[in-house]
Formats: sequence, C-alpha cells, structure tokens
Amino acid sequence: MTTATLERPETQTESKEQVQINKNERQAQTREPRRVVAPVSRVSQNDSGFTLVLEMPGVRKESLDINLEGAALTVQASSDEPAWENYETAYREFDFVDYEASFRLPNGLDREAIKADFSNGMLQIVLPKSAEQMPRKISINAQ
Amino acid sequence: MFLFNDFASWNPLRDMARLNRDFDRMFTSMNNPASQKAPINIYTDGEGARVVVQLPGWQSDWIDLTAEGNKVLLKGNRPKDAMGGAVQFERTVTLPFHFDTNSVRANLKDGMLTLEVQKHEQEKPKKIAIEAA
Repeated sequence: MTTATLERPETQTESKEQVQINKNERQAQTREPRRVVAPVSRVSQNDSGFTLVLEMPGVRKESLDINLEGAALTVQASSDEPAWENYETAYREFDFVDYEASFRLPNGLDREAIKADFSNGMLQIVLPKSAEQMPRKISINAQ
Repeated sequence: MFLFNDFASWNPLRDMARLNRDFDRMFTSMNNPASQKAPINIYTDGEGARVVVQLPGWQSDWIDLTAEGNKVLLKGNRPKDAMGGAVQFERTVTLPFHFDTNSVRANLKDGMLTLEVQKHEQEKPKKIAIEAA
C-alpha cells in the first residue's frame, strides 16, 4: 500500500463557540461546544486508482455531504450526542463533533466513476483512474 | 483527546473511570493506548448507565463482551484483512454499582457501540414512605 499524492490538509481543531461551563448549569455538562475536526483518513493507491477511507463514528448517512468541485473533494458530516432523558455525562473520552475534510485530487481520474460507500461510521470513496491512465500491457508483434 | 469538564467535587464513577484509564495506560504502549483505539463515554441515570464506545468500521463479531459484578470487559480483535488492518484492544469498565448481568444490552450502529446496563434491583433508588404515627 503506497501513500498517494492526494493532498491532505493539516489536522485542524477549531472551536466554534466557547461555552463557559458552570456548576449550576447541569445542561452545559452534556452540551459540548461543537468542534470541527478532520476525520482520521487513509489513502491507498493501486493500478486502477485511489481509495480514500475516512473514519467518522456516530455519523448518520443523512448528515453526510460529499462534494466534488474542480479538483477539490470536500466531505462534511456531523455526529450528534444521543439525547437521552435524565442521563448525565459521568465520564468522557470523546466528543461529538463536526467532521470536515478536503482533498485536492490529481488529474487523470474518471470523475463519472467516483463511488462512495458509507457503513459502520466509515466512509470509503473509490476514485478510479481514467482509461488512458490505466497501466496497459503492450504486446510485441511477432515478425 | 481527553476532556474533563466540570463535575461535582466527588464523583466515584469518574474516579473509577480514571483508574480504568490508568490501568489501560499501564498495560498498553504509550503511543497507542486502548483509550485511543476504543474511546469510551459513560452516561448515568438513577437506574443504570449507558456506555458508548467509538468503533468506526468494526463488526460485531470482532467484539467480545463479558459482564460480571460491576465490571464489563470489552475485547476487540480486528483482523488484518479488514479495512485499516489489525487492531486489538482490551478495556474494563468498572461501574460504581452492581448490575444484573442479564439486563445488559449491546448495540452496534454507525460505528458506535452502546451498552445499556441496569442497576441491580437492590441498588436502584427507592422512595421510602414515612409511616404515620
């Protein structure tokens, strides 16, 4: 598996709003400020093209937005904390965040054949090379 | 990534959870602790708790759950031919109450494993009526 030449932005973590949590606001404990993070992503390459895998646990398909504009491929999604009545957060190792990632695609892809599949919180985007870019075996004519 | 927000000054669950984390740290490499492979949130109400684990791309047959007393043991074993390659983790969640092991429900959806644990009947809060003299 080789790392492709797809360009990946720096992991960004930005706070959209600052919420001052105070002891008397129990609601504030469960409502984290929304953060935008770049999902864990992997790019692999083979003869027929690239495969991009993004980990976005807790994201529902409906909130997922994939856009291709020129050479820019952008993915946006959000994960929501379950709203369970009367439950309080007792311990937290992860946040429910908005995911955002953008990639600059190389030339020579078959744009019409780009496919995306989302299951178990994992997005897989297959980016096939166009026919001209595919490796081709050239046979030598016998004399 | 670990965030503690404001809590009441004494929170036995938090302390136990912190201890769990310390144990996980002790037994796994510092670069890739179990809390990074399978981060956990715990939510409680008077009746029990819900434990949510982030496991994107995982299938239920790669996860093994055992409940005993006040502990749930989570073992994960993702095969090497799976997307993302082989990953193993082991985590123990200790809750500050005993629970009915038959009541534990587990559900894996959208890359999130949710465990629902009901307190043992004897440990549930009970309203006590004051008898009239």
